[in-house]
Amino acid sequence: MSAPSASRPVTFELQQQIERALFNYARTIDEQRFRDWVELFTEDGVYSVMTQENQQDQGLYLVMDEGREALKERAAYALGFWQAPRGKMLHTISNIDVEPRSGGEVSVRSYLVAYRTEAAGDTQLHCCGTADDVLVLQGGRWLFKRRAVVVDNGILPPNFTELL
Amino acid sequence: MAVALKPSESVDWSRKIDRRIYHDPEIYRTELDRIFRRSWIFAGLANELKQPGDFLTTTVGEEPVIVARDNKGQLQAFYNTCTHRAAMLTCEQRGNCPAFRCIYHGWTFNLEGRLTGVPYPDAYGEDFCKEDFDIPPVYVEEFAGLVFVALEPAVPSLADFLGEAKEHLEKYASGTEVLGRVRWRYPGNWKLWHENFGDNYHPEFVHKFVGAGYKGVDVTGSNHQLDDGHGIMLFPSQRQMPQIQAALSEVLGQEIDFKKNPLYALPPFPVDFGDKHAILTVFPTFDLQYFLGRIGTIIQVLHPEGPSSTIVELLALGYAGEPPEVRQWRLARSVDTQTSAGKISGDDDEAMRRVQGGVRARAVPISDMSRGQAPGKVGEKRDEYSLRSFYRGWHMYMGDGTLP
Repeated sequence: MSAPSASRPVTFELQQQIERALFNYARTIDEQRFRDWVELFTEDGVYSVMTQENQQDQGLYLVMDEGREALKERAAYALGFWQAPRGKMLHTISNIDVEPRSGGEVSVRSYLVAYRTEAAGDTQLHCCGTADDVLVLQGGRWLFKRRAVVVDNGILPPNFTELL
Repeated sequence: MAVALKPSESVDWSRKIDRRIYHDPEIYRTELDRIFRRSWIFAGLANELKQPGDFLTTTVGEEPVIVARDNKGQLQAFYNTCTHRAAMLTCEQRGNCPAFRCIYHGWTFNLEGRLTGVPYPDAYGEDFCKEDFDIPPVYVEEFAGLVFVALEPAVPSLADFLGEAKEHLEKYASGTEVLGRVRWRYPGNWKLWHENFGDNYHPEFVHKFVGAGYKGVDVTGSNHQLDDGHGIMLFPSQRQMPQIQAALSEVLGQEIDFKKNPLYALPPFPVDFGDKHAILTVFPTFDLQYFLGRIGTIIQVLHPEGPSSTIVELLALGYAGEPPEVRQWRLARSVDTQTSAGKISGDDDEAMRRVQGGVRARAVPISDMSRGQAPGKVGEKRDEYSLRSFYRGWHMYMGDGTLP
C-alpha cells in the first residue's frame, strides 16, 4: 500500500467501522471463540501467515487457508485437535490505514503485536508484523475476504499455532 | 574424558538413555567438542551458491561459519570471525559479495578467507605478515547437491561419514531447490528433535491427525538402522482421510468438507519415488522427510543454543524444472503440517517442552528406547532401530565406543 490516496478520502465513519471490525477480530481470537472466527470471513475468505524473510524471497507460506472449509479445519485444530494448549493471547492492532477500493471493498494495512502467556507461565512477545486485509460489507457486517499476516520474526517462537 | 557417564557392562546403552544427556551443561559442552566439531554438519544446497561471491552462513554447534563460492568456482568454508578482534564478518543468512570487509576496523578477507587488506598497516611494524591472520579454513564437501561442513572431522571423507545414508540422500535430495526457510526455537535439548524425527511410535498419539487417520488400520512400515549413526523409516500412506475429516468435524461440531479445501486437491507432481513416505535421519543434526505424493520434501537441521534450547531450521524444497503450478502449490501449502505453526509439528514442540521438563526428575534417571527385539538392523514402523543407531553414533563420538 502506498501513501494514503487523496482522491478517495476515508470518511470518519468508514475508518471507525473498519477499526471496530479489526478490534472485534482481535477480541474474537483472544477470547478463543474460534467458531466465531470462521464467521468473520466471507465464504471464499483467505487467511494466510508468512514470515517477512520469505515474503522478500520466493513467498513460502506458513499458513494458507482458502475458503470456509479450510478456516473451519483450522478452528477445529485450535479447539483441541492440536494437543498443544492455547496460550492466553493478547493481540494489539494499530496504525490502521484504510483505503477504499472498487466494488465496495476496502483494503486495510495494520500493525499487529501479539503477546502470549502460558498457563501459569511467563508472558512473551509472540510476534509482530503487518496484516494486509481486504474487507467487504455483507449483510450489514464487514467481513474479511482476505487476511494476510506477515510476521517480522526471523526465529519463530514454539507453538506458533495461535491464530493471528 | 570430562563426562562422568559410565555405562554399565550389563546394560545396552543404546536402549537405555541416561537422561542427564538432555540437560547437563558439562555433557553439552563435551558434545560441542566431540560431536559438533568432529561431524559433518549440513549447511545448505550447492545450488544456493551458484555465482562467485555467493555465500551463506550457518553455525556448527555454536561456532559461526561462512560457506562461499570463490572466483574459481570452488566452495570455500571458514569461520565467520575477523582474525583481528573477532567481529562476525557478515550477519546475513545469504548474499553475494566480492570480499568480506569487517565493519569494525575495515580488515578485508577474500572468498577463501585470506586476509587481503588492513587499513594503516605500518603501525604493526615491518614483520607484520598478512598470512598470519588468514581465517582458519573449515572442511567443506558436497553430496547429492547438499553442502556439509566440518571443523575437525573424525571421518575425513563426507561420503564415508554418510555411509548407508548416501543412497537415500541421492534419491530424495538430488535435483532439489530451496523454496524458503523457516526457523523456530523450542525449549529443549537438540537431541530431542532429532529423536522425535526418527521416532515412528509417537505420531498416532501426539498428532490427533495421524491417530484419527490410523484408527482401525493395520499399520505397516519399516524402521532401519543405517551405519553409522543414521536411520530411515519407510511407510505407506495408510491414513484414512474420511476418518480425519470426521474427527475434525466432531471437534468443531460442524461438518467439514475436505473436497472444498484446495489443500487436499493435489496437482499432478512430475516426479514420484514410489509408494512410501520416507523419513531420513543423518547423524547428528540433519533430517529429511519425503511426503508421499510429492506434497513436499523438507530438510531440517538443528542448531543448539545450550543444553535446553534449540533452533530448528527448516528448508522447504521443490524439484528443479517442475511446472509453475506445482511450484505455486508447494509455496502455498507444502509446509502446512510443519514448523512451529504446523498442524503436526506444533504438537511436537509441545512434546519436546514436556520431555525437557520431565528429565529433571532425578528418581527416574533412564529413558527407554528398546522397541524391536529382533537382532539385525530392520524392524517394524513403531520400532526404534533408527533411534538406537543415533545413540550408537552418539556413544562412539562421546567416547564410550570406537569411532568408525
